[in-house]
Amino acid sequence: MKYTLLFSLIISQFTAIAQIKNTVSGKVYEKGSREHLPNVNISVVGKNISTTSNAYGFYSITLPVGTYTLAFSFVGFGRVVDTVRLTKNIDLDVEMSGLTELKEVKVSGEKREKVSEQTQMSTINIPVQAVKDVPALLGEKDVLKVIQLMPGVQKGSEGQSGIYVRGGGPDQNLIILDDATVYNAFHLFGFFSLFNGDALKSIELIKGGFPARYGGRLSSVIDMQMKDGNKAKLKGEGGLGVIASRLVLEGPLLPKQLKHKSSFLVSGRSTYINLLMRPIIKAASQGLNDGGYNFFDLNAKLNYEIDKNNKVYLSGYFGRDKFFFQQNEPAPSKDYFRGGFLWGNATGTLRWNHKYDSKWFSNTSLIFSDYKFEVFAKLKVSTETFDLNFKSGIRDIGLKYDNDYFHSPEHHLKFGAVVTYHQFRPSAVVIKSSIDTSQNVREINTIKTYESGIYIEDLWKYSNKLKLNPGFRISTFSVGNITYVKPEPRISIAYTIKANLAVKASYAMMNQYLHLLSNSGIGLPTDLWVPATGKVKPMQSEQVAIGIAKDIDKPDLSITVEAYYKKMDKVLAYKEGASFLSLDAGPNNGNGSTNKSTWEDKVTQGQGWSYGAEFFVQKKVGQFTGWIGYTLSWTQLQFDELNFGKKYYARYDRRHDLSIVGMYKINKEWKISGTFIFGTGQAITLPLQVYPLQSHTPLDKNGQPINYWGSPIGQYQGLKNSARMEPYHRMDIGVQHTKKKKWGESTVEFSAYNVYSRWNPYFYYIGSDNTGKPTLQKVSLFPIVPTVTWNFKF
Amino acid sequence: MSMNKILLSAIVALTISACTKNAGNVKLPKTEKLLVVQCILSPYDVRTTVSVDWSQDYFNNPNQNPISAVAKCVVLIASNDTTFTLTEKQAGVYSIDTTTMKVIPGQTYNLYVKEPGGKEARAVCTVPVISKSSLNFVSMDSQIVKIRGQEEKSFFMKCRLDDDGATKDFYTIYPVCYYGVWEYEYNQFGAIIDSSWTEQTQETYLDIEQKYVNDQDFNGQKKNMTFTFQDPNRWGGPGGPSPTVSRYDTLELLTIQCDEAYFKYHRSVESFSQNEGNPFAEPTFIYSNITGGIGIFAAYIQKRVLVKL
Repeated sequence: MKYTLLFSLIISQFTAIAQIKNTVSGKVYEKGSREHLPNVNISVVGKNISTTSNAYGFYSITLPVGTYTLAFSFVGFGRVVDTVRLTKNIDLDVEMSGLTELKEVKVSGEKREKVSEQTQMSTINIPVQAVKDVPALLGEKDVLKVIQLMPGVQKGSEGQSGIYVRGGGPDQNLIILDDATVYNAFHLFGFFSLFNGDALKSIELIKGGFPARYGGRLSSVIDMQMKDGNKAKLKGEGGLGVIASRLVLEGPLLPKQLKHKSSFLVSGRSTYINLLMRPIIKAASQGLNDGGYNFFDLNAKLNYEIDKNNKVYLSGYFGRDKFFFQQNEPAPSKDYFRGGFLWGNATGTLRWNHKYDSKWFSNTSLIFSDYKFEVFAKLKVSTETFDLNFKSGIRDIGLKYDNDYFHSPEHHLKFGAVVTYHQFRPSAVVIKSSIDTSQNVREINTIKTYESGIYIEDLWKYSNKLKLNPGFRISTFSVGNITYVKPEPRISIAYTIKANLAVKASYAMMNQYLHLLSNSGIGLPTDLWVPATGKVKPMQSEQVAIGIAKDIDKPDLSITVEAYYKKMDKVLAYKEGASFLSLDAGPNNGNGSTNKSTWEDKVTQGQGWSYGAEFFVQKKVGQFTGWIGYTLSWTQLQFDELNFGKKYYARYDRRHDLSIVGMYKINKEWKISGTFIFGTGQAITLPLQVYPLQSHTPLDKNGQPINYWGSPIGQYQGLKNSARMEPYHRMDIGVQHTKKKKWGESTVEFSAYNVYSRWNPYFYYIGSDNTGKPTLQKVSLFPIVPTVTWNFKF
Repeated sequence: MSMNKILLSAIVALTISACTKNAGNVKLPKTEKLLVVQCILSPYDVRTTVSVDWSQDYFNNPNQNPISAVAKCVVLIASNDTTFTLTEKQAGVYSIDTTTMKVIPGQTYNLYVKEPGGKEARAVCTVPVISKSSLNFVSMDSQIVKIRGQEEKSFFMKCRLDDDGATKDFYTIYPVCYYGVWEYEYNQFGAIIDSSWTEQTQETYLDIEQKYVNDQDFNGQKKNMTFTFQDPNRWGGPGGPSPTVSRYDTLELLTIQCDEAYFKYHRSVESFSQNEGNPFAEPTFIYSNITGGIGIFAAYIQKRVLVKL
């Protein structure tokens, strides 16, 4: 009996080994434009086997010989079903039609991706269409502001695009555009992000359970892919807004016979605030003053399919912001003071997709990223001049190699490596003064560092109920003679309890070697990027999350409930009293050193804790779409050198954060949308008590007290951030009317930001009443802001 | 209305719509007036003084007067099983002769204050021991610079801080220059009838991080430092440089070796004073080590480096 069992086992194993398997693989495209589609769900009908297309639309499924029906489904696209007879390896490229291409608003075959079927948790794919539909301040559609509406993501101040994910600071978000890191993602002092929604194909937000392929930041990954460009015909899209206009052009690059081989996309956006504001400023000062603001950005992308197995992409971004002002003395004086800020990003990515075989797909990227910030000022008094030029920036050159290996329906391996050369310029100061030559300074400090990482992860379907995504990353960072080597284990687990219901858990350790020194916390360009050094250690976080994912078929709803706990170490902050302006204070001693300290002396490191729960209900398909997100969270920080070493609530700690977003397509022409948000007020520090400060000044060599203080008045503020701003809440609405024209499509949108005109606080300051008594003053920016914008497509 | 006019109107509306209002709805943490106790111990003083005040509510202080001395308090300092009672010399100021209560390096002192209403405050401090740490003169250099066309001379004193590895040390450094000022006496016709030369002192600017140094990053090691002394004409008198100011005659580095509380308190006060009202600077919290109130009870000893020019 014993031998019979053993024999049966051997036979069964042999059979399994001997079973011939073949692979069906290919790419999934959008019909018409031939844009490849990432994250498409491909399932084998009648079997519990499925996979998803990778970031370049490539998929692969290996199955025993037989005939199978494959179903391709993707949110916003009609379902495609195809039958294959798998007697050998098969290439099967599939085209899917977007719902807008179909005649009906609701398509019976439409199928959404189910959160209960995904291994990954804490991940949200932001529908690009939602970016276009959600009403926005001054009609400027903004990717980051839509991300702010997701649970677990807090915004900064009124109107700002800065984001805080699960208690992390704004520097803890890895913002990637076509594999290139974007360091400052904002225009207009943080009011608008620099991403043009018309040029984007996909937006993915990851808040926890980070796959091993991502690294370098503690709190989130925002991975955006630009459209490739329409391969079939020239198309355009654009809009005229109140403060800016934009245009996107895309089409085939090569002659007609090769039109499916290549395409291009160019997009541009520019503001005309300058044009409108300068005359007002000049008129208000009788021509003495001048000032203004400019921003623009350009995106471009080219791609060329060399053959079935090789494709190259070249993409780039270039954007600049400039704020300037000039104050002139009345004639005949020719004295003046002029100054301003200039900042911007430039990125470039050259990518090569290569298919080794039907299971193995790779992408190699050569990446360039450059961020610059500059403060300039010039003072002229009579014949004397004073020039100040302060520059800061970071430049990256990186090489990245990513692989997808679809080993079997049970194992989808991802592995690769990345190395990045960072050149930091925390501060470069040039001062030329004819008034006081002792002030002349020329210091340009650069720090060169190398960051690298290797990773492997497996999308592992252990059984029909249990899916895992274990991964491991090793990251290194070299600065000077110091090299940090940090292992980063990651795992995500999803267990299906029953159809449409899964429990999930994840753990991720992350390291961050780049820090942002920030006074404002609102994405001002004055925030400085600095590297980890021997003295300033890398930041590290560990995050665990558990959750439930539930899908409901009628009506189509996805519900997720997640709880998380994140511990952060070596979080960086300015010491008390420090700011970027004081980084290089102090007179020059003429010998290359001054009575001053470096940025490393101005900062301190501590720890942080964030924990909370997130509730997310989303309806992605149908005439009515939208979501409700609610976050209950706590975020605390502790630094030995701040707040007397005691824990305190972070400025962006929000106990309650609620977002309700709805979009309703009434018919082919009319669409309405609305949002409501509520958030606990920001934590702030305010003086509570005053008292006279006494000091005991030491005596000089003559026995006289030195360092005479006078009679300063001290303030007692309690603990740091112990006061709260008023709660923030606001409702926005929008109505879109679309008309088909001979030349294309015209959409007029009326939107109203802050419909009930609540005076939400932007910041507070201490003023005084007419008796001199201190009063707390609130500055609010936007009451109701109605806007009309015109968008078009051809 | 043309599109331009619409856009212009919208921008103007937005600009003028930014609004400032009284923030009546901000919830402030509840606080009541605090007992403020301040005392610095030094072996060089003739008397040790403790000041006792009430703090005042920042937003609801009708007289805007932060000074509210607390009279008739019980103020005691205990050390080595001996308790000394400080006497009130003026309202809220209590003191004792240092011949009666000696301030001895290495000794621990306990401060106790009880105000007439019954509130109590306590603090402890230990006077630093005289360690082997020392700030030593290395060399002197100078440079001519032009200020509004006039030549001035700045001096650069290079020093080396030799830190004692056996102790956790906190230093406060005051660079002081001594310069002469001619003072003239004039007759009714404006002629000089008498002149005298007096020596004056001036503390020079130091960045906070350089002025307040603790040895946590270089315990037991040597740290090189350069101090800049600008031309005394820079502060020659009200209204600008004065021709009556001579060059420096002596430069001094006064090194305070202090306890942690003295270091943190003075650093925080200086940071607070420099940055009050600066929206780009992190807020500063004035250090306190008083239990049951706020304020400071700390101690220091001092050493000096004098360089004759």
